[in-house]
Amino acid sequence: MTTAERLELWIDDPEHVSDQQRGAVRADGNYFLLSRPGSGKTRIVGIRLARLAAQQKPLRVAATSYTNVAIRQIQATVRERGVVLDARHFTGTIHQFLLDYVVYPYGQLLGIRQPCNLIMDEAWPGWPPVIYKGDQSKRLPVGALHYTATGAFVVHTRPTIGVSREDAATTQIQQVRAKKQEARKRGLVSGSDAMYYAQKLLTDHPKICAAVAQRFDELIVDEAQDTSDVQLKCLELLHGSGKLRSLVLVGDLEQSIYSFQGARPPLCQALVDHCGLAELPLTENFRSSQAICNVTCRFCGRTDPDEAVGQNKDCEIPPEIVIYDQGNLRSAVESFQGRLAHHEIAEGGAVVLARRRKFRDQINGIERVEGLHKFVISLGRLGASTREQRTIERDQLRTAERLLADMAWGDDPILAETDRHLAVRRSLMTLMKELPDFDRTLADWIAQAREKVKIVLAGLTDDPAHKPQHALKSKAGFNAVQASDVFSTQPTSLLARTVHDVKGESHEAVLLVVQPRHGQSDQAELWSAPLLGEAVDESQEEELRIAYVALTRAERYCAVALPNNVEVDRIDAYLAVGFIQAN
Amino acid sequence: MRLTKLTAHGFRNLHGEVPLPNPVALIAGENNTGKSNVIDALRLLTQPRAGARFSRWITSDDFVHDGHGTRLGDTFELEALYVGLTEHERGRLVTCLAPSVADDAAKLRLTAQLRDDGRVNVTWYGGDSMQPGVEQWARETVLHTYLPPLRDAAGDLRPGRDNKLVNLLNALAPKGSKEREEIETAAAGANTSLSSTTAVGKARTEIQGRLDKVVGPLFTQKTGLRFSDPRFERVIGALWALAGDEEALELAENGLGFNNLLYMATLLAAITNDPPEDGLHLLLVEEPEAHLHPQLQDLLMRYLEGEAGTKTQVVVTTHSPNFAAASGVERMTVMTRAAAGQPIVGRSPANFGIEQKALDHLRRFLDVTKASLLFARGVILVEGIAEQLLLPQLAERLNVSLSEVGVTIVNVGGVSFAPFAELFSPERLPYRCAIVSDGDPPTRKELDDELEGGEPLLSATAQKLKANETDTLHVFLAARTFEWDLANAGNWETLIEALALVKPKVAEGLAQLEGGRPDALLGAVEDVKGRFAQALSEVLADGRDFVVPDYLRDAISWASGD
Repeated sequence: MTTAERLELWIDDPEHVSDQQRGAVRADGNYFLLSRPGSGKTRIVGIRLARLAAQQKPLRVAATSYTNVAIRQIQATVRERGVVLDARHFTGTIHQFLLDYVVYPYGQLLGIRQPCNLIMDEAWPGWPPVIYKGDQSKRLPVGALHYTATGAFVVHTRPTIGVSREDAATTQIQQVRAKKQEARKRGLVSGSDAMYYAQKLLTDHPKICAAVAQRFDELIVDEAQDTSDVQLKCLELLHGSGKLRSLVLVGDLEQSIYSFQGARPPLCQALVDHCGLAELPLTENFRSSQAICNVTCRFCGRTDPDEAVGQNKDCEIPPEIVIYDQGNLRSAVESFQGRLAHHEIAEGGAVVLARRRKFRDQINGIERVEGLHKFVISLGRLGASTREQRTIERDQLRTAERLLADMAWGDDPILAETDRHLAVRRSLMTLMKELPDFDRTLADWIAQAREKVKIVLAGLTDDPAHKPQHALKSKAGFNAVQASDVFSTQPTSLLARTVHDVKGESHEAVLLVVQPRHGQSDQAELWSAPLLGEAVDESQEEELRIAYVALTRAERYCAVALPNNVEVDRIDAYLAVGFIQAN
Repeated sequence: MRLTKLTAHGFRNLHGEVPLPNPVALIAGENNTGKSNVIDALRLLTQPRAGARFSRWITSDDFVHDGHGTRLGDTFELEALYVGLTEHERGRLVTCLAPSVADDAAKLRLTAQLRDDGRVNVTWYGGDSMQPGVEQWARETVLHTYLPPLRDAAGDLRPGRDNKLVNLLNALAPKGSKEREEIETAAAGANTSLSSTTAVGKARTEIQGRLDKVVGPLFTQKTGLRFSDPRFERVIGALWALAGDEEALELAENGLGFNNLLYMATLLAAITNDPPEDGLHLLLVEEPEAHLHPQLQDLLMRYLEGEAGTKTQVVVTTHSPNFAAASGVERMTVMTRAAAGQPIVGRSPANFGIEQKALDHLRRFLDVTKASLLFARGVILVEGIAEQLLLPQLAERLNVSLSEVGVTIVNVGGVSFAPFAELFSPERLPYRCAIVSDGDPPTRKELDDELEGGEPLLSATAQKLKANETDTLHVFLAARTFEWDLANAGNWETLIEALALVKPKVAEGLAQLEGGRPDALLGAVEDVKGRFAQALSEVLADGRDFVVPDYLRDAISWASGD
């Protein structure tokens, strides 16, 4: 029996693929797979890809997604089905797709020096600066200004130079354009610039656009709800060339949580309408219990819960709220631990979630130090991983490599598998072994790390582009902090993570910690609004989706931790939709 | 799509562009001009159809060296230019499109760097981009089949893993086809019958018995005997190609030449039966003339031209003027250099902008002997048989061996120098071409005699060409005609001796002539120029002194590089 025949039999088996999923796997192209949390959409993409690739006459498929996590899931699904993808296919992020097929081959048409150096970080010191109000000290790196699909600019992080985000984006257009051009000439391109350049190339050169569309028989875009406005425009152009035989979008508009990178659920819907894609809804939830499904749908204003069909569907543990002492954030986690024990759930299967990174660090007891250089953070994390014998993640390693290479050679890119890249990796491995212990002050740790960096840097180049003194610099206050408080993860169990971190993941139990009210922001109030049927400002809709994404990670048990100063009617709102108060 | 150009820098002795006419390109040139290097470069730039095991790997020898083993560089760059891509091919090569050349053009470039430890770093680039990295799918668009020179046809067609018949039968009986099932069933059936024979059964028992005794019952393993795996590849791999006049024989019993043809036929059959879905298939053939007599060479060339089509392109290296003559000058790429020590360049007459009429003329007249001008370092074009026969001997009187300095004498058979002259210029064939002609224009009658069949008179005579001399094309004119000038230079006794062999009585009459000798000789040989030249050649063979007329002396020394 051939692999293809085996695969078809496997797909036919309802134990493996439900009727609804099978419909999506075998559908002809050009559709929008409207998924819900736990519907197994990424798995469906993997099975569809495996099926198309295993046929006697394989279709050429580009399977893209928004995050590398999803890509790895797709690749793993294909592998599990015993299908080996050959060079005719592409799997990677939508970002990588546009880089590989548009920006890298044709960037020179926009005056981008090649090889271009993709710089993802707007804090990078090498960006040409944009000067505001004629004041040399009021400057933003041009990498902090991001193109929108219309060619205008936006600024994502609030500038600290006394200029509003709106003014920063709109008052110096000419200057920004000139600096962007200068950056292109130097081969400096930010991740978001690159997407806009792809859009521009596809717009200006219809024949290239047609060739890119012609390259694949089907383009699958998973997590389409997170795809940025610029990327959506690129998809529209590719589809519009008439040469793309099939466009398959997969996504859940209620899970769109990347507006800060340009994602807009209505734009995604508009593309679906524009391309005339058929809508295939998935309403089954393979992840969570029915009890969880019944409450999570309320966070996005729906009253029709998903149908739990997976192995946890009959789990009867009710969703709970726990009240914690806002003066002791750890108490939220401790209460959760108690509930886990009560429900007989191992801590290894549980996750604690926070909306913001800063709040996450507070829950984890990590000291947040202002003004810490990226390289210090990166080295500290690597050091902590080594010492705590945790796996070093690839992205973590890449970041450190990029920063070290930048220190050594500045603009010059390190190319995959070049001698330079190998040298950088070797240096970093040496450095990780040599980094000082954390039982000293932060200032002391930085000073000692600096000496180690100097040594490995000397092994890379005689003339470093940036001196280590610049990045590894002690600042006021660093003497008062212990290095271990900054880098070591104090509790080694039930570490809090951000919601964005766990996107696409499943966990047996989930605790979402609601941040105590501070300033204008009142998470408790906002997140209970849809439960009470209150209207929410359009700008806040994404915050609700974040709560939705967080709670829908749960397989058997989900809980919300509310600070003890929250008003009673907010607590009642949770109880009204089916939560039980646990303490 | 079509491969139209190879560009090389620092790869062995190649440095510059090599145009490749299509669908058949014939790479000609004398030894050491890099013909094989062109093939090797194309093998590096494309993927072997037979799989990665047949890849050519880069070695340190591939980096430019001075010819004595001293390397002159540690990087090289190769680039292939493809044009005429279909829409589908543009999609496949989307990472390699070259809008700077044309909308339907693509480029693939590889750079190699030799590291100190002897390993080689290779980086691929596509199209106009300097961003490294070309996807594998694009690099697999163009596949090649390589036929090396002096191949071991008998060896390659013997049963075994590399049996070339496997590809052919694979194409004829693809996976899942009824044909394949038939073959496998037949083999499995044969296997079953064989293993049930008495002898095989006994042998199996004997072996099992011995094994049990050696290792004891605990460690023993079951043994079995069978004849061949009934899997398709194994069965086909065991096929032998046979050939012979009367009946098919094993190849070792046949001549090398015919085995070579059989080998090529096998490969070509596999290719034709399994055409690429999109993209291009390159057939790279080195010196197919090996072991083939001229008529077979001619037939093979015509066959290769027939095989070439929209999906297949043929690149052939050759030393054989037969091949060159059979293929037509517009199919040629001549690997050559302007002079010793100069870099080697590839030049293709198809790109010279020569008018169709002149090309047609060249195709008709570039026969086997004239085609040798494509393998030379210098050329002397002469009008007739007399100069062609005698010039080498006259050169020896000047202590020049024309064959040693690589100068070829080409008899253009009349006065139609112009189409030949068009081949030579610093931008075309860059080596020297001397035209040796008469000072007097030929008479109408002379032309009619030369050009049997009424070839139209070409207007450009040598005198006209004189006005268009270039650095590499010079015209050397006799005061009057070849024989007249020989006599005018002295040499009377030798000339009379030669004339005596052709017209004894006339020679006797002229022997004592004092005045008007050149005119008298010319008058005597007018109707027997060829025979007279042969006679003079015989006479000169004894190495006696002979005064070479100045215009010939100049032509010989200029053409040989002085």
